[in-house]
Amino acid sequence: MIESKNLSKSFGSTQALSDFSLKFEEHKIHAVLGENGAGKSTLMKLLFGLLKPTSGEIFIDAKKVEFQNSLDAIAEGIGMVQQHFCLVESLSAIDNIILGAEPCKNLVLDRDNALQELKAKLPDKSLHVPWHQKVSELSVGYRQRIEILKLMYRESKFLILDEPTAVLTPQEIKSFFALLLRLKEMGRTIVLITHKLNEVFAVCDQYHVLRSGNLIASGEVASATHSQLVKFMIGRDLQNTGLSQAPALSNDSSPSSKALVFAGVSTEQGVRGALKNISLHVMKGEILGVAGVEGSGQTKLIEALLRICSFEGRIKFLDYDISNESRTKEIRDMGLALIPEDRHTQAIWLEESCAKNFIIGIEENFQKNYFFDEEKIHAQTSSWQKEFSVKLQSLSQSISSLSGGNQQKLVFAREILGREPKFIICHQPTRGVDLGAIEKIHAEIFRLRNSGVSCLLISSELDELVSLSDRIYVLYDGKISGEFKRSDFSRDDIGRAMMGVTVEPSAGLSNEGSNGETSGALP
Amino acid sequence: MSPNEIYDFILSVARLGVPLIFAAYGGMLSERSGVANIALEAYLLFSAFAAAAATSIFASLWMGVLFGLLAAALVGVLFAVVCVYGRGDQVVIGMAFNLLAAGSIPIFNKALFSITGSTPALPMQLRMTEPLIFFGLALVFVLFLEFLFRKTKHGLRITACGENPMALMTQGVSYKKLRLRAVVEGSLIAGLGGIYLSLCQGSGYARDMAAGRGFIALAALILGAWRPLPTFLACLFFAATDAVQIQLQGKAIAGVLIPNSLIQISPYVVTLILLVFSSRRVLAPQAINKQVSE
Amino acid sequence: MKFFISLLSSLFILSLGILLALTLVAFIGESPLLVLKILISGSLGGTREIANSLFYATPFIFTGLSVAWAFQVGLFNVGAEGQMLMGGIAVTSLGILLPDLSPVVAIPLAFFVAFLIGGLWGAIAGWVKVARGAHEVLVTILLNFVAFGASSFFILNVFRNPESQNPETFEIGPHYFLSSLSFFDPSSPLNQMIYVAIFCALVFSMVFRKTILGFYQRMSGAAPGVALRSGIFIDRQIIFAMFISGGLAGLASCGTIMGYAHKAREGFANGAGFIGIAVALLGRNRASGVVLSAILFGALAKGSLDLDLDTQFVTRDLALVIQACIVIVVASQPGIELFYRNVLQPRLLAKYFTKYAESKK
Repeated sequence: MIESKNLSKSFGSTQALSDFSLKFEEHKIHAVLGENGAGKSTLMKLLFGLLKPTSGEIFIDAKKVEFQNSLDAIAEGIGMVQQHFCLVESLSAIDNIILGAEPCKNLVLDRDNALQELKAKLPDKSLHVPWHQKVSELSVGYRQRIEILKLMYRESKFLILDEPTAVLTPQEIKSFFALLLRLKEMGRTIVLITHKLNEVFAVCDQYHVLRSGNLIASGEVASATHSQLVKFMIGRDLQNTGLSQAPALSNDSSPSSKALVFAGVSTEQGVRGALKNISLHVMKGEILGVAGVEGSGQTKLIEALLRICSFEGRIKFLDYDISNESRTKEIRDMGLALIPEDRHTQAIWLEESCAKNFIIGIEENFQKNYFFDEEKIHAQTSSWQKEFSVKLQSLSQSISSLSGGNQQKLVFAREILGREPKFIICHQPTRGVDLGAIEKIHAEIFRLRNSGVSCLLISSELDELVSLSDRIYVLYDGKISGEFKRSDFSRDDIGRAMMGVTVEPSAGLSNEGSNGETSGALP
Repeated sequence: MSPNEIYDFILSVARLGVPLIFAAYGGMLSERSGVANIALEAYLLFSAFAAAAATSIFASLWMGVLFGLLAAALVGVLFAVVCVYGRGDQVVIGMAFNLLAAGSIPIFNKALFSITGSTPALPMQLRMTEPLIFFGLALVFVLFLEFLFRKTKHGLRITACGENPMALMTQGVSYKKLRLRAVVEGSLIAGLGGIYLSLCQGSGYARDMAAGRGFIALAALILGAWRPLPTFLACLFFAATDAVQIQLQGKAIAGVLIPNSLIQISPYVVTLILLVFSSRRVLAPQAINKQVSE
Repeated sequence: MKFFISLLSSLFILSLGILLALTLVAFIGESPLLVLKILISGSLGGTREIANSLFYATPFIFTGLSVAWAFQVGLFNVGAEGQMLMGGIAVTSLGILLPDLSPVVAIPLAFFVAFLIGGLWGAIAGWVKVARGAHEVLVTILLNFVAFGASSFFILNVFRNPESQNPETFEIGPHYFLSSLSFFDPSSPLNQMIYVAIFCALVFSMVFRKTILGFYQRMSGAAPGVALRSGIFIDRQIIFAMFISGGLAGLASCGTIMGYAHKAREGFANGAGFIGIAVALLGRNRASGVVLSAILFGALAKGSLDLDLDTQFVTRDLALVIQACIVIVVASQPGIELFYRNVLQPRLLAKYFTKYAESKK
């Protein structure tokens, strides 16, 4: 049984975790809840030996322990699966599993023995994976299994899982929960780090809420309510209960023509997430959601539209055929706003000032003979900052000192106010963003849609897609495996489509087939 | 060409290939563990110098070999420590080590022998006269490294370290210690190449005697996709261009005498052309020259 | 304020580098104080010495700016030496083949040619990088070797002066000569090229601090994912950067060839390209830092000339050792900062905080 007493961790002057004291009861599934920056990851890294506490103690079965590194934690029976998997892509599944505890016979790796041992520790075949295949060739679902297999191989008794369902389809999530329950039966103690409240209620026994590095509340899930937990997490009530409801489509906004058309588009094959003869369209003034597991082609969709990867087929953006000659800059200047998936490497320039980040992509509006017009920059960016309430101390401070939510707001301000977009691509717009800011972002997407801006919303949060989109396409392996109108949204069907089971389109949809019937000609 | 000439040519290729192979393998261990290493030239120079100097001073080949290996190990340790704990750009650090070699070796030479440039010439009995022994050793290394990376724990961990050090961290293995170890092991292998240069190919250390071989070895490593057998073949190929270049010096081609200064650069031109035309964008170990956040 | 902190830390790094090098000196049995004395008196001991130090510094300003420009775009130009050689060949050819052009045309044309050829030599590496993914470090190093051979060929075969004992070319036409600076010692080789160097430094500074071009260049190196999605052609930015970088290195040859030797001698680059790397790193890739570092390294180069003769064990190569130590210290900065943040600072805080807490009781 793991217990921590007054555990604290600070990085320089930032206090990530303060005075955390808790007993994790054995043979239970615990949920550690909290917003970004609340201290969940720090706590887990401390328990797994990846970080050393600034003060405080950890006890395992009433015996004090001090972890020098994760090896010590593993030796005490603790195992962890991080949110971003720690796998070596060029090695096989079995190699990844035994890494660090490799059995050897006379200097040679004994893979067969390892495999036998591992299989013996598993309850049944449900956790089996293609053992000798390279991880780079395996799906996300298999990769997560491999991470869990690592813990099984080392017979970890205390399992820490960080946002494990972030990359799974609804069906996979159901089997994952079944697995957790079976592991609990086998005597394991499990800690789930999550922000998805419905999962807490589905499978967890106890909850522990962190906020700003402090343990705010702890208790039995059975006696808690949704709004109670939200209040613990953010310290106040949310205006809406959870995610925004979609306002009804007003009569006006019936889309009259198509803002974006993909006709028979394929990107370079053999690459993960390559598009295979895809055809889709986005109507003017609609929010089109794209669902799918990671690596199904979402990124290539955006890259093809931006012309930063090559493709075959035709793409028509705002009635203009961009398949042959258009350049990224031209396309963007036609009125394309982009909220990329990976903020730090695709949307902002971390080392630069906030002011300069506000003008990335639209610099030509701020120049006077090849030089920057500093006054104009200051004036304009100040007003944008106020309009979107981006919290910062000075426009010349580095953007890296802003919180994730504020950085995202800056990106939104830049893309929406800096251009006059007719089309906006939102790729995981609320990832890593606090609940309060999520509301605002959803509200902004609606406001845009109601003023006639089309939106391509790509997200792994099914709830977000379902509540915002007018239509949803599901991508699987570079093809469209399902298309759903708002009236037909069904999490089950969407989930099946995400796994590659093609779902018949309901009657009354456009004449583009959803499993790849395409024509090369533009509609 | 007569059979005799062909035989001579093959021997020539083997002789010229040895330092390249050892240097490239030295770089391979380092780079596959995630430490970019352009300081192969420095490894060769330091070990060549130390070997020649020790042989001269102690009048013993064995001392030469010992000091050559020690020098290589010392440079390896220094390089590894600066790269792993200094957390700087490993390419910049590698260049610095090359400069360090170029700058400090003449000073050591002057301090030990009162002349700049070369160590005293070694008499015949203090030289290794059978270069093919080294080549045989190189062949052994080809097999050994293939075995290492495919079938041993150490090789598996090195590969993991170069692709995703976090994978090792979360499995309880210190990536820092592993990198230190891999770099030093590599430096010892490269040291063999340096020892060969001054004790076997030459008769002592001559100024800048590596002559860019460290960089050609790096090119061979890249063309060989960081794998032992292809790298070996790439090294042999470059050695062949070197052998051809030597043959051509002073000879007229189609009646025109090409000056030596142009002929001597032909291996580099060939290397460049190969790099340009090898159409695979070969993937270096993913984690190379990247820092693991703490 | 920020400037002074940078300056201080650069001075600290410099001292550390020299200290390390002097430790080596002590290790081999030479007196570090003697070496230090020779270095200082040889470089700053008189007007002649200072003028000569500045003369040595001039090409370092160019190669430093060259490497610094590349670094600003995230590229490592190790090929400044080769680019300088190629630029020098171009200037010498011009000076020998067209000696009768009027000085008004000759000198700017010479600069243009040096920049162009050096720039093209650099752009080759840029092109190989974007088209083939080959790392610019390896390509520029190989191009260096090719340039060594090409310049040897040029000096020893094509334009060799048979009447001279030295391996050198014919003289360039007098219209191409740059004159010495009159207010310094006129017999010193220090010449007008230093004005050009300062001018280039000013342009460099302006480009990166105030222009959109500089913004795009830096973004291509520092935030390529963002740049790509905003419509910047990263490939073109890289090739352009290598062209400019090579061009600056090409200009480095003009001071020696046009202002001093009036011909190309074998080995006229003399390691300036590699020194440029240390200059850029110490100068934090900023124009002001590069100029100051270049002057420093010029002084070091001048001062170390006497080491061959005046010491028992040390040679002028000590300058290389000092450079190497400086680069290593600069490169280790992230580790040192991390150590300070994670180890020293908490300990210091704990020590002083507990004292403060105690004193309040």
